[in-house]
Amino acid sequence: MDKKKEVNDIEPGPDSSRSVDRFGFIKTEQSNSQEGVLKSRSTHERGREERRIRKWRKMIGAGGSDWKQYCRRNPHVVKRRIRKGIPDCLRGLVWQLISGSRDLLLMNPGVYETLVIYETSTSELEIIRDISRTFPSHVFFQQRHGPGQRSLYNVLKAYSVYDRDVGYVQGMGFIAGLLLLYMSEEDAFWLIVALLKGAVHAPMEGLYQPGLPLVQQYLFQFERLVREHMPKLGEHFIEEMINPSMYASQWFITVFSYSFPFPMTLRVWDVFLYEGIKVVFQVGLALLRFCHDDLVKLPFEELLHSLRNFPEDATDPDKLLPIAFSFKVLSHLEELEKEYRKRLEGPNASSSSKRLQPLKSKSMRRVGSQVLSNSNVGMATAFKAFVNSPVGPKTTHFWGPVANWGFVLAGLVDLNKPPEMISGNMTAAMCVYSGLFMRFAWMVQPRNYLLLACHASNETVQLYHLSRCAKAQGYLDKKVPEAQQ
Amino acid sequence: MAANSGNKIRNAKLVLLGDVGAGKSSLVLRFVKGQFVEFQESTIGAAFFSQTLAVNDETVKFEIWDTAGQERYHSLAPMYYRGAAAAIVVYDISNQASFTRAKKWVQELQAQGNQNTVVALAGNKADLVETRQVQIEEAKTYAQENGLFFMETSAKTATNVNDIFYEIAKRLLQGQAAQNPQAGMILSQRPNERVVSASSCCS
Ligand SMILES: Nc1nc2c(ncn2[C@@H]2O[C@H](COP(=O)(O)OP(=O)(O)OP(=O)(O)O)[C@@H](O)[C@H]2O)c(=O)[nH]1
Ligand SMILES: [Mg+2]
Repeated sequence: MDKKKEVNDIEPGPDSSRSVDRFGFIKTEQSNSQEGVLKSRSTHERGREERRIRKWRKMIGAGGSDWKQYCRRNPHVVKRRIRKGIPDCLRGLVWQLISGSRDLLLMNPGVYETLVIYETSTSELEIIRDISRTFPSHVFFQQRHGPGQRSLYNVLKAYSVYDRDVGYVQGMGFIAGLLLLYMSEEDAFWLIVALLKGAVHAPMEGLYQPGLPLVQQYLFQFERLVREHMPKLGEHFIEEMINPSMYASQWFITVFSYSFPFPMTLRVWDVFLYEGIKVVFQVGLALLRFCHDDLVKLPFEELLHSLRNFPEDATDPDKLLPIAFSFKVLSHLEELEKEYRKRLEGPNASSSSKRLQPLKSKSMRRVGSQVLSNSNVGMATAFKAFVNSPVGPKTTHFWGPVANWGFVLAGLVDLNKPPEMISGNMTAAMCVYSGLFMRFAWMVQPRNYLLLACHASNETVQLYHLSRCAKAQGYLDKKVPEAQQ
Repeated sequence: MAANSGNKIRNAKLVLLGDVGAGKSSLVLRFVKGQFVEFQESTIGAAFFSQTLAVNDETVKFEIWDTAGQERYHSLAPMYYRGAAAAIVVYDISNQASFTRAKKWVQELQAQGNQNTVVALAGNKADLVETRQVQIEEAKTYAQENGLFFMETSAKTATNVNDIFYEIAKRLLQGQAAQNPQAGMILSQRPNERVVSASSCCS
């Protein structure tokens, strides 16, 4: 809780006469009363909160070192605790751990910087136009050209370069904005990559690709789920000609980060990052269930209004989430997805078969070896076991070394190059780098032989280069006149 | 602007189309709530509003769909303009590209929409005269050639905002009267009972 107060102290915002809530949003009159209640909860609550944080810290370990092991040993405990809400001061770190973005970051050093500094994107103007229209009521993003707006621009631009098929799409800004309140630019960027490319769960890039294929699919699935779980309401929607696209498309496009109370958004994201997109369906159903008895009575216009303005009670995460989890949707979602694809394949099979494999996009290959395939469809069991193993391709233990073999390859290619082209400093740095990594690979749990071998090879190659370089420089010093002939 | 009691309320579906940041949401917000926000959140998907407007002795109730401007959301747009009685195509007078985009929307409406749809062209942000890129004459000529009616508006200063909706309402009523003089008018395409029930109450 201390961290939340800090936000108040450090960032009074450009308009300091207005106060902000504990998340940094400019207060409206309504939220004041709620805040009063929160403060009065006092010592007992605070003690419980502190115990909770201690438990979480133990679970994560220093900098996340124990996390994976804990998850493997006690997946149910982790799931239960996440459903109760991740402590706000650990949220940023835990989000990176559960989304797989931390691994992506580690195996792609320097990539983000390159994207931000050296690349240009056709979406830049579009992004700029939207920057001041993303969370305009939050102090961090309010200041023109302030740090908030600049990071937001950088992250969105970097992504639009990273995946040129997707580029920039309105709605991504809210996701990036939400993440930036809890982590650095680079971390936020990789979390978006992890989500859209599918580091842990199925990739979500289809939400933003031309034609919004995944939005269409989710809406189809959602409509059917509503009819299944709340037949009366489903019927009423049909009578009133209400299509889920009229109220739910933004739920999916922004994963509830747009126009919902922030405490609810956060709790939904905790669970969403861990359990996947099914959570968005569950929360959507829960909102409808919560207001069911009112909704079935309303005509078109009021119905639409209610679907955009849920009562405060309905968006209280402690009330909403238990309802959400009571919906069992996973297997049904899979069936509906198959059904949806069959329908698509009817008239034009070619366009839908493209949708089946969103991971094979060119843009993913651009940045190198970090493609994380997780379509899971038809994956052989042995391969699946490997994929999910502690050093499998879903983890940095696998991709880290694979990426690092790149250095070795580059080094080997350089063997043919004249020694004058070798940067002595860079090569020395590589030697130290590989040395450090050899130590790391040996010490880390589980011991990573792949990484060790990789860096041992790199060390050899680089040491050889260093000796060539040293020799060449000595040699050149003496023979300059000769070279000029 | 309140509905006169006693007379019929005609429902009319209206859609706003136009480039990102042209000011669609701001126009609606000005018309429906009389407000303007300097930093209006971008619209994701679409948003729904309603507002009634009295024209002479009749009342039109607009069911307004405010759409997202980005090209990528194009695939969602047809469901909002399909069956619309009226459309406002919005561009930003300080942004030439938004005018080009507006023309594309007009073309699309003409190609797909029904002939009776009243289409208005709104050159918004008329307060930004110093940075104007689209000349009034250019837009006027374009509107005449394409059978649209045209106004420059400003959601910020409220100039012509109510007027453009009022003009649409008038044209809807005229058009309807000319076409189908005796029947009760249905300007939106939802089932009859609903429109009737809406006209019997004055919520
Ligand atoms: N000066 C001036 N600014 C305006 C006017 N109308 C809108 N704006 C500003 O232009 C920006 C975009 O306005 P919106 O109403 O959100 O634009 P939109 O067309 O709804 O944009 P999307 O929802 O992204 O498609 C906002 O920051 C408004 O404050 C106007 O008449 N004059
Ligand atoms: Mg808008």
